[in-house]
Amino acid sequence: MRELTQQEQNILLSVFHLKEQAHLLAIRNHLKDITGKELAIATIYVPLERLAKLGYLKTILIKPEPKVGGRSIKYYWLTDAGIAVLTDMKRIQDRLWLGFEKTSAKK
Amino acid sequence: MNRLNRDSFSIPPVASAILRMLLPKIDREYLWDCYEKDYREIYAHQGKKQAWKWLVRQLFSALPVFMKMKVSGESIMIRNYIITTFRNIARHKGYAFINIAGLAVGLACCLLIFLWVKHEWSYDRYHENAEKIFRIVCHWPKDEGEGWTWRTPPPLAQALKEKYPEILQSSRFYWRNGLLVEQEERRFRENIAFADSSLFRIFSVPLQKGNPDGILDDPKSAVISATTAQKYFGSEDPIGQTLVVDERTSFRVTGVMEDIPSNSMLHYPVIIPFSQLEELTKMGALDDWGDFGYNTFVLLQKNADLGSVEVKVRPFFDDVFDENIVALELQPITRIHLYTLGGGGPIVYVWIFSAIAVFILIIACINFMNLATARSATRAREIGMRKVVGANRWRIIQQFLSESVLMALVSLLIALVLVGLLAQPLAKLAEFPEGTHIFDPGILPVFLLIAVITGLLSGSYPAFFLSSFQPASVLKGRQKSGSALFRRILVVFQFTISIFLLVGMMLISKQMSHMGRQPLGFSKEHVVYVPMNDSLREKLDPMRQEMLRDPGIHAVAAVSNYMGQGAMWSTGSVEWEGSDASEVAVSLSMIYIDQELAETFDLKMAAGRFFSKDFETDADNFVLNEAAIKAMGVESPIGLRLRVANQQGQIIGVVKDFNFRSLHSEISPLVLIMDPTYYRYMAIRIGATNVPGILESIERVYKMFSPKQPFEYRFLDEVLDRSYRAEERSRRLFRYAVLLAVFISCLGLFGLASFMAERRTKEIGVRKVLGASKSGIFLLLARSFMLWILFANIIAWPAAYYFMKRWLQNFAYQTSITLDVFILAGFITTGLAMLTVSWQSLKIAGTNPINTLRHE
Repeated sequence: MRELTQQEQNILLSVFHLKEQAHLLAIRNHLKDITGKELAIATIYVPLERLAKLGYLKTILIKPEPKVGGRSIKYYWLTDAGIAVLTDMKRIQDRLWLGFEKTSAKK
Repeated sequence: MNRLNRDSFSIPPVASAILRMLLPKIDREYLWDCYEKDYREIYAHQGKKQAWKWLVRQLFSALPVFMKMKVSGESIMIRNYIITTFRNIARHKGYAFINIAGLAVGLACCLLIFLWVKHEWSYDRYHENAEKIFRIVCHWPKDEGEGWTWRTPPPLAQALKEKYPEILQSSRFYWRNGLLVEQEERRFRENIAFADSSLFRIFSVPLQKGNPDGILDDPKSAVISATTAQKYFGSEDPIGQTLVVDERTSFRVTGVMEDIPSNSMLHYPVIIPFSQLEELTKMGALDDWGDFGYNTFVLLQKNADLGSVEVKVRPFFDDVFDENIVALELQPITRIHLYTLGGGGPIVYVWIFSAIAVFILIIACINFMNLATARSATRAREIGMRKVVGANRWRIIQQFLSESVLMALVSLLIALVLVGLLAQPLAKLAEFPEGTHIFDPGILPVFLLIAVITGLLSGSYPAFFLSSFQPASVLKGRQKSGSALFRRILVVFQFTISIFLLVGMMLISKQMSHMGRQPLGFSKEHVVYVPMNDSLREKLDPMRQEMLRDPGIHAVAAVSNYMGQGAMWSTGSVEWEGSDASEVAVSLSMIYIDQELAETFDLKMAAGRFFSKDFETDADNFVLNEAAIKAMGVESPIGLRLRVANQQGQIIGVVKDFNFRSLHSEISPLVLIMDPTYYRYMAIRIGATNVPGILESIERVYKMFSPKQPFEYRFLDEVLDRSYRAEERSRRLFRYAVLLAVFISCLGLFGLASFMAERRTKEIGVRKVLGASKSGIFLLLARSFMLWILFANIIAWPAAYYFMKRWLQNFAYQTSITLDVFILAGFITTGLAMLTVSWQSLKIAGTNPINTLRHE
């Protein structure tokens, strides 16, 4: 299994957090709220598609309604594989971060 | 919001076009909506400026990632295209061969020409300051009979540097070929350059040993090349060693420079101080402003403005001479090799060859296009199938473009092998200086680029044409084989170029032989030139007497240079009795000779007499040519007093015009002066029989008077022929290139003809069954091709006439453009095309209809 980058991990977690409402702009806004950095649309879209290709995400494209102002939208949600990979990463991360909180609390 | 409803809040059209192109196709609408929504929001809340900023940021981050996505998605298809291409090559070996061979030969030819052109361009470009180095040249205006010369007086270099702060360095430069250089027992003739120390500051001549500052300041110092050092001193340290030049002067080696590349005008093995020129060769007093004969090089300051320096330097001579018409100009050193002063020069050939290279490539591309479209029927099903399973037009275009690029790359491989095989023979043919390697691997990317462009060009039309097929009709079997008209136009175009080049080639040949037949005005046959140094010069008369004892030796004259190769010096404007310098300024070329010249070269007098031993004062007198008298505009020249440089004397005779310069230029004003200090050669007229015996007796006399110098001689006619070699070899290269062009055209025609014949096999079978004769069928097939070629002739002739007329204007002696050349060119191409076409036509016409009709 290829290890996910920090960015991919962040995106996966955003998708998880946003539940049924996980579409591109929502993910972007969510990440902006948390990290304070606004990512370009392309730099979110590309990893999303890559994750989908790896099987961690499922997508559905909703065609625009046939009226003026109708907008197409694409939703993402986690697959079982996606959840598994996140769990795995969390386990690794937890062990890596072990004992760190105490140190920072002392300061 | 629907993208059709554009309003002032929408993304501006240019940006939206770029963006839409970048977006991956499956999600284009959706992503587009995302961008549009964001843009609108920012526009509404933060204004236009912020929205624009946001957009630019988005575009920049979108560009790399989306491009990458696109490319990685493409790779599978590209692999499929490559496989298809190779399958097609394997299935239709004949056509593939014609295509690839044509392209390969065309490319090889183009690449070789490219290498040649690149070499011609490379002269003196490698210097670090190449852009800032100039040669000072003299120019006098039109109303004075326009002229240019690079010959400048020796004090000029120093004076310019002192006067103009923009000139950082300046150096005088001159050379003498074939001086004897000795080091103990090692004796060779070397070409020697004379220059100032600053030469090493102006040009990039890296020193292996020695300090460039004042390296030639000691009048007895010498800088030699690494190879020369090896030759004379072997492994010893050359610094401080001495070399004896011309049996007289010893020079101490103060520096060793790396060998100067052959594509440099400084390609000399030994450089000694300019101040030695006087001592060694008895030439030009070095403070003499009237002695025009030497190169002056200058290096400008880094930030100097060329325009303003030019303006400042131009009137420099006004302060030096009272009546001055000569303006100084700066000639970039990078132009010296290719551009003759005042226009023309080898650059003409560079352009001609570049044009040929492009033409040949176009012809090869046309072959490819023609065959690809003509044979489209065989691919129609494949295209229909691809379209049915979802390929759009752009995909098909991509497929055929990548196919043709691939073919071009395969051709490139073959072409590279050809280039590798032919590069050295070509360098020999083009007479590049020895050791020139015109092929270096650094050029490969350029080759690759040329091949890719060729592929795209030749694939463009077939790709657009083939991709337009409607799957429904082609799969039903209704095939079309492309617009026959377009193919016809292409073939006509191809042959127009071929005929044009052929006419050009023949007229160039005609012009050259025309020039070769021009009367020179002196006889060049049976004249032997023997170099003469100072010690021999003093023993000239006894030597002459000794030689003339051999009945095979008819006359011996002393001269300053080879007759027919121009003059080494020219005067500033000359003054004569009653001349008005402000009205007519005449500059004369100078040749130094002795009284035997007229007899040796069989010169005819127009008026007066030639120099004679019987008149003591003749050393001060002059003989002019007819052109000079005409330029001066005097009625009775004999006895007229004349001042040339610092010499005053009478005109004692007028010699009939003879071509003392090359036949490129008309005969210009000339003065003959009898001044022994400038004699450099003995010109010996010998009998036509027993030449080896005569040469032996010349050598015997030579050795008698100069036992140490190696005996050398050259025949004048050989030397002169060599001076036309530049044309001769360009002509030879040109001929090969043109023949190639014709060959490639015919190759394409062959492919096309065989394809057409193949397609009409059945028709011909039916015709034969119905009673058509063999010749009738042959005519049927060949006729249309012949019409095209005829048509090509009609177009090519006027074009060739126009361009050749202009080209011929470069020559002083022009041949006439006659119809026979055109007819011959037309005949050759028509004949070749006929041969090509009839090969196939006859084969088809001769087949038994049973074989062609049986299958159904």
